[in-house]
Amino acid sequence: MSQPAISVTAISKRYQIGRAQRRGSYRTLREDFRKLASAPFRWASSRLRGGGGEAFWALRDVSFDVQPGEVVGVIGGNGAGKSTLLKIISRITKPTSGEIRLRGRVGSLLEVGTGFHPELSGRENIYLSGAILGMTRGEVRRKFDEIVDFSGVEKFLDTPAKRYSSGMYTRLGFAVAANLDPEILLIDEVLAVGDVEFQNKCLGKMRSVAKQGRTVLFVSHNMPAVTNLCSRVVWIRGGQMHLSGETRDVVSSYLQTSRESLAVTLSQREDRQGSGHWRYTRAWIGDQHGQPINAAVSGEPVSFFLEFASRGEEARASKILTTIAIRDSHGKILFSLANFLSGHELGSLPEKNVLRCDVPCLPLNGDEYTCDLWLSVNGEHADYVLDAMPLAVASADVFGSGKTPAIHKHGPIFVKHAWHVADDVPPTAN
Amino acid sequence: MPNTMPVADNQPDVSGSATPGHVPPAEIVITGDRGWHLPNLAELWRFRDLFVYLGWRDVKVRYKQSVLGAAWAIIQPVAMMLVFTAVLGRISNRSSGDIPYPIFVYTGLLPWTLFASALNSSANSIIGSERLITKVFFPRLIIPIAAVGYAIIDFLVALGVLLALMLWYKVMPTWSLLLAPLPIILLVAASLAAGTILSAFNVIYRDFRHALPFLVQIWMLATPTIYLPPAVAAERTTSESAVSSAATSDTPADEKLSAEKPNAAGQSGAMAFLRVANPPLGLIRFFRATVLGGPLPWTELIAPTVVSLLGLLVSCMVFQRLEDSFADVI
Repeated sequence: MSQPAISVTAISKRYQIGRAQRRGSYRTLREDFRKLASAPFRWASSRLRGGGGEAFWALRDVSFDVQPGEVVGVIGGNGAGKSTLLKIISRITKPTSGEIRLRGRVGSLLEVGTGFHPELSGRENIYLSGAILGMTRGEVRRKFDEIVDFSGVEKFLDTPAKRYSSGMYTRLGFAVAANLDPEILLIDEVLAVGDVEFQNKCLGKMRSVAKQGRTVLFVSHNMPAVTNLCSRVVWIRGGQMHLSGETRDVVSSYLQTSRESLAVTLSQREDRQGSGHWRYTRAWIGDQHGQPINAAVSGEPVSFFLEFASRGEEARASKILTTIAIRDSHGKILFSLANFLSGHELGSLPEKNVLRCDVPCLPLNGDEYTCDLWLSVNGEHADYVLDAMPLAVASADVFGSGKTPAIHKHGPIFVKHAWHVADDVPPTAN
Repeated sequence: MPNTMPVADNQPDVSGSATPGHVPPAEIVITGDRGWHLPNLAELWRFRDLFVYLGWRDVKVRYKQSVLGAAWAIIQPVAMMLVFTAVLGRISNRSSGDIPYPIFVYTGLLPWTLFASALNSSANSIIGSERLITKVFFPRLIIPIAAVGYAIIDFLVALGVLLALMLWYKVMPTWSLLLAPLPIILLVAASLAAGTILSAFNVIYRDFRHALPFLVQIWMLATPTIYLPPAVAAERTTSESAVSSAATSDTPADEKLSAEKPNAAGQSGAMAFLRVANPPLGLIRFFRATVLGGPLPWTELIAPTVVSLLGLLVSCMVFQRLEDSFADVI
């Protein structure tokens, strides 16, 4: 057995809360002068230790090894520290303590189109991005045709990248990175972008990379992709290593827990309105078979599951009115799913129930949304929770045209439609 | 060691296919150690293509959507030359000897513009590369160094005007022109010394961004050799100290450099300090001498060389000390 390609030993990373939270709000000299004036010694020692204030441990004592040729997934909720881990292994930021040994040439892919400049043409960007990712000019030249081929943008090679669609941009960016030849490849969430066809292409490429005996560390939210690619998964939770092992075991345990934790937060939330006699206790989304999922897919069927329960003596619920209001990231309500609008009577129910709402085709473009939940039982306004449940939607080729609607250009909602020339209506004479 | 997992158990042995008959790959060790290090030249060399591409990107992008394009490289020093000629040309005409004032001031402005724009772009380079810093690793030193690329290109373009001026005023180049690249290279090193350290400070304290234009202006005033013919400087000094300097008016401009020195104690003390602390001063003088002919002021070159190169080394080390926190702070 050879040495591991990546060995991570007791890695910790501390951020100063002020700086980590107000990212981009850099210090000014005045601030530091003021601190210097008020407490010279504290200031000096905190400057030496790398900043004062409250500490926040993004990672704490994480250790694992990855063998050569292994494809390992890193999963975890938002803010769990998985991206920080990847940034440390990519040498973008330093750990506070601990040690990592990398044996082999490292290529990291933390975003698609690293170093692309919108004013430069596709051709120029291939060379620039390649150089930034660590390729020599000769390597890029050798791989050039392969890159262009994979990206499918050969017609636009001399067009400035700013005129590219977001899909083309993504494809070209991934194509450059995919043709890197590192022994160790670090990948972050890149599969979250692009249409389904392209995602499959990327997955295929990553699988073939892995087959060539290269080591891949893959950080993702996308459980199907993780299941598909990785032989082993490391689950980071709250900055610490929570679980690691066979992909199937860890992923199913992760999905189970993320559902439970959501349930806990919903049932324990007190910032709600209504009588409180009946309350929502859990809410989650599932696919068409009812299997819980972390993210819905644009244009695909999705089901909402709402568990509600009585908090008092009342044994039966009747005259149930329920609403899921979907908001975009700006807080605007986009649409509501309500049984009294759709005309579905739910009858008389016992003290604990799970309601299911099926949406045959989710009309949302890829983004993060949230859901408010409202409940009325026996004619009484019982429960109303704002932002009760997150709804992550993955982009997809919803029209089957190869184009993915972009939320900032086309809005959050897509509608299936058709275009043709109206032969039977003559244009006006003038 | 807490929870180090032995993961090898259920793993098929693929090590053979991974590196068939390969030399063992280089090992990279990442630790939290922050210390003082000399620049890692081997690593910089490995990324040599990146210098070219980043520099070339800046040049390309800068001129892409501007109508006048490369003409901007000429406009700035030429406009300054015209302004200086209009303001100072008359008073200095009689004292700059056989050298016409426009060509005198242009040979000062040309290297100064190189220095100032190289300093400016390298000092602002890191905060302008946030996306790269937070998304990909490469030696960060490449960014401020590559940023001087377009200043050098601009300099080469503006050099054309100097040749035109020399033809117009019939100034014959001498063999010493071959030495002109030497002060220019040192000038770039000096601008990098200042720019690299400022680029790192800029990340931590954005105040430097606001102070920079001001600093460059002050610096120019502290480099009087650009616009003030030595005779004028000498006259001013001598009138203050009431020492006659009638003899200086017919000696060639560059020989008057030494004429400044022995005068008024305060003035010469300040000049001596500037000579050491302000590398552009001596470098611009040397550059002018290589272009306009005459004896080369070799002694003027010593302090700037030492200060620039030492400054560059210190600057790179400070930069590397601070670069680890760029991705967290920027």
